[in-house]
Amino acid sequence: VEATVRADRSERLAVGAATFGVELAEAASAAERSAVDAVLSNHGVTPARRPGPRTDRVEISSASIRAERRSLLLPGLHSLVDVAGWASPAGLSYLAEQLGLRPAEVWGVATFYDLVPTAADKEYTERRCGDVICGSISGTGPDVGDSAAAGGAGGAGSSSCLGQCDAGAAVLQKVPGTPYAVQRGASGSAAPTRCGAFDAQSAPAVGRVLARVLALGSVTSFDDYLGAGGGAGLVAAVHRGAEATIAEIEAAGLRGRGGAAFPTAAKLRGVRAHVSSPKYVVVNGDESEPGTFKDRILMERDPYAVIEGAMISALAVGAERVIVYVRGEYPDAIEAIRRSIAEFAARGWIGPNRTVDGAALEPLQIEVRAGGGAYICGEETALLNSIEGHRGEPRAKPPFPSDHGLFGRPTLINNVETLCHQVEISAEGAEVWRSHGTPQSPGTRLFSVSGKVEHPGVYEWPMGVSLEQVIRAAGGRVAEISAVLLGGAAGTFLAPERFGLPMSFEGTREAGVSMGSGAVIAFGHSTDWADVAARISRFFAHESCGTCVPCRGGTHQIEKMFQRGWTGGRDQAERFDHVARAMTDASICGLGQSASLALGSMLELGLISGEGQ
Amino acid sequence: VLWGSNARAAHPIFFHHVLKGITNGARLIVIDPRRTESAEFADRWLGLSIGSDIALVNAVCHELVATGRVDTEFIEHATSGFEAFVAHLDAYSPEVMAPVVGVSASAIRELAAEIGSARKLQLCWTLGITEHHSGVDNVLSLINLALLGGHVGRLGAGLVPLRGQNNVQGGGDMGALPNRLPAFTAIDDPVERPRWEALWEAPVSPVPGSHLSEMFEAMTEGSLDTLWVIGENPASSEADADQGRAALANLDTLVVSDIYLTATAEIADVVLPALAGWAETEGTVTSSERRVQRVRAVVEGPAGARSDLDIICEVAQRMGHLWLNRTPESLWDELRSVSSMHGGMSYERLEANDGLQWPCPHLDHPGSPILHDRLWDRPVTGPRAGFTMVDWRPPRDALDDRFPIRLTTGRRLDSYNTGVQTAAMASPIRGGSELDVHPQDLKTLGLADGDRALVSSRRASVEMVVRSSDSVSPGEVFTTFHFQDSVDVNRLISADWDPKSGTAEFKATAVRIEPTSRADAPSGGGHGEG
Repeated sequence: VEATVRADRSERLAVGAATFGVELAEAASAAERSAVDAVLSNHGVTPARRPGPRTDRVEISSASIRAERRSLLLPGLHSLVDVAGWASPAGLSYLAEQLGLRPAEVWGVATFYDLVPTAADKEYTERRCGDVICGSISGTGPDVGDSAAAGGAGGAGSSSCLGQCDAGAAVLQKVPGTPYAVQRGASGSAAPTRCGAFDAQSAPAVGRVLARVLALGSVTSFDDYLGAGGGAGLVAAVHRGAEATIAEIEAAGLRGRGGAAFPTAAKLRGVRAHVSSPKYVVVNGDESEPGTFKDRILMERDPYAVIEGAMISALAVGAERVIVYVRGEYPDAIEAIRRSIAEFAARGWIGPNRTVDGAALEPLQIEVRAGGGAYICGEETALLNSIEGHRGEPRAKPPFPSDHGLFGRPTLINNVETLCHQVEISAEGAEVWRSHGTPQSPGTRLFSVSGKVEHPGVYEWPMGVSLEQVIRAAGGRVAEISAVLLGGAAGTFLAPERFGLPMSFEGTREAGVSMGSGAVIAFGHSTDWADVAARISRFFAHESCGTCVPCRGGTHQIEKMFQRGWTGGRDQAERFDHVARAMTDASICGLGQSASLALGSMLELGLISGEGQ
Repeated sequence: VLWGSNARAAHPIFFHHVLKGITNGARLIVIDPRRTESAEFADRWLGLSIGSDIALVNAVCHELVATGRVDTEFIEHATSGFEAFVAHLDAYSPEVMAPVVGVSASAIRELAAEIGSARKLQLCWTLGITEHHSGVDNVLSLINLALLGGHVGRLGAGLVPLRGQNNVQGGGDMGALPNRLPAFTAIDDPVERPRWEALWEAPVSPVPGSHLSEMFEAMTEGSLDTLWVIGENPASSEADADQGRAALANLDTLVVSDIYLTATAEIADVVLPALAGWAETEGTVTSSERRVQRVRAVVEGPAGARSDLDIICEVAQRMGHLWLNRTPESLWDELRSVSSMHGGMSYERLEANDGLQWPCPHLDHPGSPILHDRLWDRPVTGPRAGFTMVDWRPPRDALDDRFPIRLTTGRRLDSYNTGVQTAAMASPIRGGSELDVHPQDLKTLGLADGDRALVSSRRASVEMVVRSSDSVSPGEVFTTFHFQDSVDVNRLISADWDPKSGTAEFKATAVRIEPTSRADAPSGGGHGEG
């Protein structure tokens, strides 16, 4: 009997070792254990498994205690990766035990995220950005075939867009014992991202949401922030009151800047209408759309404004807790947001007993959560699932987050840039804000300009500016550009004859395109379009979460079409159309619905055809 | 409330529905001596000491009555015996019962408060309730608890015995009980019995037969000399296994019909290979919720194997009864012609409705999703539901200085009962037959995780590997009964049975644990301490 038991144990380890191709430890290391313990204690959460043997004959728990514990799953995975460089089976088992989860549940979530190397891919030390800008335009990313050979998971050494598109050749580095770090412009020295603001006449302007960034370069202390006019939005909102603040935002006509352009005031009202607590505010800082890096700039250089915007939202809807979910590939942004929250708390603006400008406010808790490296988590309901410690798969809508959001509670979820505009509106009033842009698309917005331009960077423009103005101001010469990809990988290719298109909601809607997240990627005449198509198709095949069959299968079918070389035959074109239509009609979230847009527009423009292949 | 049930491991499909309920906001209370896998999902786990169920239920009832958390209107309207019951509860205050249950009086009060605040309460139980010397009383006490809050006969509330197989309910419904005819007709009922006699054109003895435990006693005495076992494996599953096997060996003739060559089949004089009930034969099964469902033969069974019905008819024929044209459906229709609760369940309707829940007396009847809704009729249809006065008594297999530790047994997720159907399947998560012992006890016993130990009861000794686990409490140990080949745990267990149900006291055995080096090696099949 004894031999059986002993053999069982070692046999189990041997089977595991054969499966994963690595030596397995029977128990988590001391470093892994203390890293996980720290995550729980930092969040004030008691582990499911208390130290020492249980002797009590009664234990009390609740759905909310279990949910709160489970929500520490992704932070726990990050902590394991930070100390060990990967999430080892023993570390995962320990985490599962502490969180009161089944090992299979933990494994299911761990393997969902690119930034959580499990046994199979634990040898990663760095991943180069392999998306269209670093790859096709700068030619500094890995070859498109690299990852295909490695088979999924982005391929060994390659990553989806890292949001450093202005510098090129970005590399995500992982040194065990330290958190992830991003090296910009790894092939040479990269200057910080260039920022600018322009008025309707393409003349340099002070900027609205970029004003402090342009004046100070970067806001690094609370005092600098206040000195540069920060805090005025929250103070105004406190004195104005919740209803009037929402009314002001409604009057301003602010619409979401994450891509969906939903009226911000309507969301605020939706959450405010729920009388029971708790209610939550979630900041969507999971900027992952290829070619988009404007939210990174706001979070890195004006993090206080992001938090101020979230505090205005919390005040308006009556939320008691804010979670800022930042892309895991943005370590600097995570650090800046974390620091600013600490400073706000130190000044008594956040916390259980807080006062702002002499007014006592309801308690408010704000914390940062780092994403796990999954594009899909930019989708709001996938993001909520990710925070809750589930795989970041989108939920069916309705119910919308404003009714059934984080932990099933009413939740306001806004994009980073949207919140910063909200601060401006609250501080200066709707009238001032409406003096920019067009009547139907008031205000300004940020464009992430990259690719075949002299000065890639983040630029603030009044809405209604033409695409050509945006390109020219970044040092792009229309004659040298054969097409622009507007809105990122989920966007549309536009030929030069359409560069006069006004960048307003009404203008783009009439033209049947979308500004999306405001990514503007310019492609020169020497572009290898087959390579671009292959990278875009691979991006979606890798990032599809697999919830909806049409997207799970379709993105891979399309990837194969473009990976093997587009023949241009009628059969293939028809097949592409069929798959694209199925994905558009039958996927529950924007990823599947838009995954064929850019490729479809490439085919329409004749950028890629079967000729010569 | 899961009371004496580790549904997560033993009823994983049912538990899947429990999880859905939890996700939708239901609260789960688990009452179990062990902190089981099920308890990990619970809002409240109370680890009562083994065999103290009635003490706890009565104390909870005491508290509910004392604090007025009872449905007075329902009690007055639909029950009987409440006053006497309340008087009976006098002796069961939480303070007095706390030491018996092993938790504080306030823990009992909190449990009562939570149960008393439930709008809809489901009390689910399994063998942790029934496999005690007081098994029937345990169930009766839970019925009292449900009646106090009016948690019967309403959608979403009720008493839910979780069945161990797909057709435990059906077996009882069809009369596979020593004192019942089909449809629970009492065998000595002078009005009902003649209807069956007329149908069968044969007299039926009004004297109840023997239940399983009595049969084993009769075999031991020699008064029962021929046994036909259909789809059971008593050589492995009986309590006091040594005695049980001796009883089987004492038979003149042992016949076994089974789909496997079980341990019982191996010692049989005649083995009749049977078709599997699932997928190889036609018929019906009845689930825990009284839902009669069709089962169909969709694959051909192994050559030579025959359905139970075929085997029985063939034996009848050899005994001179020509039972011609007996098909599952004709037998079913015969039952329907007398059993009113099945009257409306033609095969056609069962198929069209994906099963029907009895009672379903006629062809236009939709079936009865709720059995006791009559209690809410005004006035009550039929008899009132009675409170029963039940008393707690300690397990029969008493603890003393020589046998100071309480052993209980149960199932693990990937194994089923005696392992006949599961042992051959590989499972990556299968544990062995270790004895779970609390780390404190291990230390006291001078044992370490993985050590071998001799576990002795008043009946026998078996060698086991101990495993350090705080899922059990100090003074209590746990193991499974899946692995008789390595650890024949049923040899330890008392065959002393509940006089009301005939079920042996599987769940509360007094044992002693010693390191093997210090103890004598077990002497084979000896009866040890007798």
